[in-house]
Amino acid sequence: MDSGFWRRGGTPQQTFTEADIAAADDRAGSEYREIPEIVEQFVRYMYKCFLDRNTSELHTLYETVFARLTEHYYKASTWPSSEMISRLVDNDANFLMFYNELYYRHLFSKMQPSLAQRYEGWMNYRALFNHFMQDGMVDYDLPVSWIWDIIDEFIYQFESWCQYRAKLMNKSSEEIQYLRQNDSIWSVQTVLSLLHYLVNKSNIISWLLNNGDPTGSDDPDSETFDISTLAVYRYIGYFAIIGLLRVNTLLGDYRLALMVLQPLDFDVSSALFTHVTACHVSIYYYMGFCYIMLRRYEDAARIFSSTVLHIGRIKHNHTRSYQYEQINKRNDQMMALLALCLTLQPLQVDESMMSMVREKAGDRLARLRQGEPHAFEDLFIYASPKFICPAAPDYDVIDDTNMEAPRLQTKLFMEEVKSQLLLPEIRSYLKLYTKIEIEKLAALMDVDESTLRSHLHALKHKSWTMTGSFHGPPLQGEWKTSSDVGFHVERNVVHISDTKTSSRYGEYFIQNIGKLDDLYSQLKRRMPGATTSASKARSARVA
Amino acid sequence: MAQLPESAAALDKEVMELLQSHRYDPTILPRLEEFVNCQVTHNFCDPETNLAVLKLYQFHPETYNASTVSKILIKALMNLPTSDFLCSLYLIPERRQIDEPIPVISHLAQLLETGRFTDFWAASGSCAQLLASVPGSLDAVRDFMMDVVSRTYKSIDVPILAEILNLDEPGVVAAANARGWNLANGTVTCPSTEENQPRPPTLDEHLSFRQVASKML
Repeated sequence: MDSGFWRRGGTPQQTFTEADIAAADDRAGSEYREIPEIVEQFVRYMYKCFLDRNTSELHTLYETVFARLTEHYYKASTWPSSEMISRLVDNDANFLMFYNELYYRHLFSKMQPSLAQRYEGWMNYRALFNHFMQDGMVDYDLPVSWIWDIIDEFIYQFESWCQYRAKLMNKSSEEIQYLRQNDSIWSVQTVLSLLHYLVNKSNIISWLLNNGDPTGSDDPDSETFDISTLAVYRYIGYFAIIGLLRVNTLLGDYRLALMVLQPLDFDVSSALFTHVTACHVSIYYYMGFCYIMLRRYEDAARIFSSTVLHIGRIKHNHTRSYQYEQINKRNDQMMALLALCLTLQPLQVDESMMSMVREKAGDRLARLRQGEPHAFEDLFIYASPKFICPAAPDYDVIDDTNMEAPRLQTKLFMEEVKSQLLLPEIRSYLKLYTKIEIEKLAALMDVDESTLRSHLHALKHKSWTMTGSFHGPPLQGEWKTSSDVGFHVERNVVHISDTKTSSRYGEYFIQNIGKLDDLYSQLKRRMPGATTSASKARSARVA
Repeated sequence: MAQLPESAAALDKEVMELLQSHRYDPTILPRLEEFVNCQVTHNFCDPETNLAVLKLYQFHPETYNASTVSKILIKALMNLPTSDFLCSLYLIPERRQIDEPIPVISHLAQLLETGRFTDFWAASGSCAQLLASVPGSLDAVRDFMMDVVSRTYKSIDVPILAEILNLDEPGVVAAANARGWNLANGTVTCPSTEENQPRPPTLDEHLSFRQVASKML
């Protein structure tokens, strides 16, 4: 498969440590250069690694060195434009597209992009995806995390565009005129179509449906060539599916968002999304959020608790990645959403999970449990994604309409919450009895009998939910009651079942086995040289 | 779903293909809207298409069609206990949601979702014409109520059930019979389900093989 391997030997390895940068600065002295020498070296070397398909070296340059050089030279300014560096990379248009992707991503993260820059970012993504479509990447490869970041940033810039376009108050009339005449820039149909094209082109769906095996040949010259045999295509297609999940969530189409995930495998020991932590976190954040909006709180809680535990275990590996902050922020948001699920639907979660929630979101949990509507609203605004309105605003009305979409989602969510606020009270009354007349219970709650009956209907209706599992397609599930209080009415008497859950020993043991494994691998890292063949075998098993 | 007449089945197939190939193309809207009417005429529901219609309105506000939207909302109301109704509202811009009849339909949904069935019947009078324009709407709502009743009650007196379902006594008897519920001495007994029975005193832990395997292997 690796036909480009022969080229690899030609590139001597280069390093770009802090010391290397300091030394380069010393050499340069006070002499002014448009591009610092070490940055030139970096670009040249990156280009070489790109040609050589040396993804492991590219990975280091991309994840670590780029951030280091940014910190040193480009904290408050853009990287050199692609025109400025093109002479360093033989004017290679392919490479320049990827360089530009980094250039605009850096610009978006550090500065306020202008209308022109937003447009250029868009054109670069179009060119880049078109390049994938035209088989342009068949002879190249990229680090997986970069491929994920391409899709992630593409959607971020789209999101940012929708916000920008909806704010007309501080725009000049020329800008508004330009927007009015150019409604195809970052248009939602094109964004969605590009993602769909990537999914189709990569043949990822048949790869997934075939349990992670290509359905055709890996020989590009063969008639049955299956492009999903190439990692770079497999991943871009796969990540585009997760991109569709995200865009549909931002639009408020939660059903479709989950439906696009149908072909995915959710077994964490093999699923592709586990290969990039930022992606793993992203897919579960959006999935869990969709479940909340579809009132499937039990599914949401299942997703969030598994992710939060996972992040807790791997966090120390990611302290330098550019995605680190984002991962942390998502982690806190998921913790808050988990507290929300546990309030809206009392569920069984294991004790260690519960103590993590109390530690991270204890205040929120307490406020939610008191039934303060503000607590729900604050939490929702804090933890929800940035919803967007896909249609262009009315350019004749100079107004900022960027908050319309989030306001609608918040309002609908709050209506749902308000319709449930009474339920905890009814539950707590029921828990006091094993048997009580409707008349008596109504008097206790200070309502008439007919109202009490409606409360009982509501409690039954709201706890009757669709619940799925990690083994089935995300949108599917079965209807079941999920409530901590079981009750039924016989004529005019409510019968309440006092149900206890037996101790969950199995879960406890599984968790402690996990902890022991973590401890063991930490100990091993601290004692280099102590590796015996037995522990090697053990660590292979743990990994 | 009952067997659809040939023309409806052909449209169903056509719409499915359109959604696969041109989901975001506004020119398919007339066919999709036709399919919404077809669901009304033939009393079936395809939430996926209906949400796709709302999504196209969201993308192309100039194509927004209030009458189709109200049909979709009533169809979603008929599909309780699913979250179809909520899903539809998520896609309708806020400034459209204040136009009648959306507030009235939303109020009805709210009453159903909070178990206030007798209030629902009182409120439905104000938009009787609208509901009547969608055949089967009241039957579907009554069906939903009966589902909730059968999960809540082991047995219920006929007059109370009559009030909940807004039926006279012969109507209740007919509805109960249609579902195979028992009727004796003025009390209806619902068939036993997991929900209207006492729960077992302890719930045991269930670990799936995969849960264990993923940690051990």
